[in-house]
Amino acid sequence: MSAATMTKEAEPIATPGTGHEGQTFLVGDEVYLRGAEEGDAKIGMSWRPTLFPVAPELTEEWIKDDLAKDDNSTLMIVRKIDDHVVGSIRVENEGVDHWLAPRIDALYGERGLRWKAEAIVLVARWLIHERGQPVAHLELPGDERIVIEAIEQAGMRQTGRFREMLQRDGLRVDRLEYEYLSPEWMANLGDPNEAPLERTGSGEPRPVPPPVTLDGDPPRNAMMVGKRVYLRPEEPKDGVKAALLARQETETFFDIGRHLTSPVLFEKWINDHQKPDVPSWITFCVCLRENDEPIGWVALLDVDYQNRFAETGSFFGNVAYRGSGYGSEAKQLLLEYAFERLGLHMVQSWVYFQNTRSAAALRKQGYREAGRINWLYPNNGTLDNFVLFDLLAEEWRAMPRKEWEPKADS
Amino acid sequence: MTETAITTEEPKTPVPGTGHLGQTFLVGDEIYIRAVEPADNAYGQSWTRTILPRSTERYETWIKEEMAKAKRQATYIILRKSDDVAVGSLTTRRWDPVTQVMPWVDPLDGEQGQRWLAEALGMAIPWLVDEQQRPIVKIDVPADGAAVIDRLDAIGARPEVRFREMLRTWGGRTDLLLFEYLNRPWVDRLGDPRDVPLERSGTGEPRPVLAPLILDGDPPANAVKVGHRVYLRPVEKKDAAQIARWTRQETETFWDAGRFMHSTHGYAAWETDQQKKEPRTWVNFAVCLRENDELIGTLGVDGVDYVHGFAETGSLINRPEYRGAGYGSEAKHLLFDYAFNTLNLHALQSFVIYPNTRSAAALRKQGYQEAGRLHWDFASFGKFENFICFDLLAADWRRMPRADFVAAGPDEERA
Repeated sequence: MSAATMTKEAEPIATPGTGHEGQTFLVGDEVYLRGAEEGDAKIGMSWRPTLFPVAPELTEEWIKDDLAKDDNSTLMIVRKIDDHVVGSIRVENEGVDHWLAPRIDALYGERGLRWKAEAIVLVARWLIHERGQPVAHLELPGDERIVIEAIEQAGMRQTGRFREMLQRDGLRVDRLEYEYLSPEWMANLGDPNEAPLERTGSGEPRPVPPPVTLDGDPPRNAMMVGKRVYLRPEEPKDGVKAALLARQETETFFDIGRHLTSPVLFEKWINDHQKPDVPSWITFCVCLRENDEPIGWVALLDVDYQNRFAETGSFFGNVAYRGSGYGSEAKQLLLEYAFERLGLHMVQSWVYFQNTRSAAALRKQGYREAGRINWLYPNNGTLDNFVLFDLLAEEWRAMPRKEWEPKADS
Repeated sequence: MTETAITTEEPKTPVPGTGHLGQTFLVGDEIYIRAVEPADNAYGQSWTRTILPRSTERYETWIKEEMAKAKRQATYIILRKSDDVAVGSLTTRRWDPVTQVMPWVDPLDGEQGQRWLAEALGMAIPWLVDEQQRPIVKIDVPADGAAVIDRLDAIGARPEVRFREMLRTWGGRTDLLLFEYLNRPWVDRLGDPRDVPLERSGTGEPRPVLAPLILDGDPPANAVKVGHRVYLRPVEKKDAAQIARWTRQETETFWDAGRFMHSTHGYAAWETDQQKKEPRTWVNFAVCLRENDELIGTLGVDGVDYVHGFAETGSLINRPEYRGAGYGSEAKHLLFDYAFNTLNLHALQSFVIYPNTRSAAALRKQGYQEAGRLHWDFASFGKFENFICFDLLAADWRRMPRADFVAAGPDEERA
């Protein structure tokens, strides 16, 4: 076959408005979806999920390299009447769950929201009703009324609300969690919203320990210092200890069962997190003031510097230091770092349903329940759920400050 | 904290035989299992699942740089309790609901090695499925490892697939067995997947192979294998746009888990990456009509294992008007010619989801034999979907009768 014939076959669409003809799925009333093509780079700013300006030449490279090799697929949202690209939707898959990440050119205003809603519904229905997948998840700013009404009408339902997570045009806006569930999976597993969330502990927040005034020098390399513990940067060597502690784990409820992680992997994560100029993971080693022994790990995950929020995480690998308030003391130091030094507006936290102990600790630390995310991981003959929490900086600042006598956590 | 304070806490295993002390799980009578540590490079050749030699420096780089980058994959070392020497490994690959376990023990350890591997699997599989609640674990083991097979039977793992003569062993070949171990709560929820009926269509009888074609004139430009109506040529960059467009126009949803869309760039980048490799583990061909050089589909071999000499086949005729008229089977036999006579592979395998009875019928017709079933592979309409597995040996294919070309009726493929 000659190059000339090939070119003829691959010729771009001649008449505007005919681009969707012949396509058998993912075609809506106003928009249709397709993979990225030559030429989409020219209007990259309409659909590329970035806040920053990128030249078409670089978007072209990005399409050919990064996007082409992405395990997850990104589909263009294209207007039917003139085949103009107005946005994109990324379909992320990690096994049993799918996440839809739509992006529409904000310059289209309300029209854009209408197209965004149509694209979301097209993909959700395709995943669930054609491909038989259990669930499609979606995160959405709480002020997009047009999208909310359309997707709720299509049968998507809200399962979570993170208060004031986003900042849009100078205002704080909630972020909503939506799901679209498979009726076939619902018939076999039941409605996940009816799965009971077990609770332990009183659920009452405790006062925050007041700031510590240091007499002498701070512990070497410390960044936040409390009465009994301090936070310092993680060192690659801490990974070796973490790997050893994982082998000595006695509890199986934090995660699902125990895990063996290589010290090589821990070291790599520590190095990787510290490399970027503006890191998205900020991790600390929790050490005892009395003897500098590392006893745990607290962290801000996926820090969003534009919207000023992050997810909090913590783990105390050493069994001897669990349930004596060390974890809460360290968490309060992390929250002070997040709110007072990094200037975050709020933090979120996700907990496996069966991990009632961590959920109780979060409530005690001042977090509030923000809903749930269903069907994220297989567990015990079903697809299991996460319970969500959030905590606003202003709520944390309003909590009473009082020294507490450490006692058993649960 | 000072450097020395940390160093004293490090597990240096100063006294041989103390490496497992304090570990709360995966410790057996003769062996224990832990994650990979940097010093394991010293025994890399013993525990790595390969028969190709590599230096300890190479293993060091692999552990520190490459292994740490692998997504959804973990390697666990099997160590002898008495002296903390690494003798084997278990590599796991997770994509829910499935976890694939790839076991290995140093073949020089002979029968005692098989005993150690049996003990390791006897601990690790219940850990993954009963403690970590993974829905299903699949374990591939050579059919000649009696001790391992006995232990898998004893813990309740079931042999589901037997790929004939797939592996090379010392001085010969052996079958590859795939065992499955199911999570009990999921069986209670969804039922035993062995009870799911497999629908069939077609006669199941193999058809004769078309006799090789002797070309009169020149071969079509760039052709690699030429048949009576179709030929195979390399996929070109420009095919990508055509294929991406066809994936948008697909009308059938039963081949796979519904329809998928390719992007032009995604397809081109994938193909380009493959074509730069030598030798290649994924070899894709464009299927073209001889009469007008039009592209009608693609097919190829994937996961080519040059050590053991096998690969997986896959094909798709994109244009509906060329389905069900024997074009696919004609192209497939050209691919067999390439796989068995050019790459000199020993065996081919193929996997088809239960609802795709049409592809299963085509494979039977092309000479493949059923090798077993693989269960619970991916989420689909309230359950996990199952696969039927096929294999075809070069020797089987060579023995199939050859017939002259006769133009087929339109329903041939559906028969």
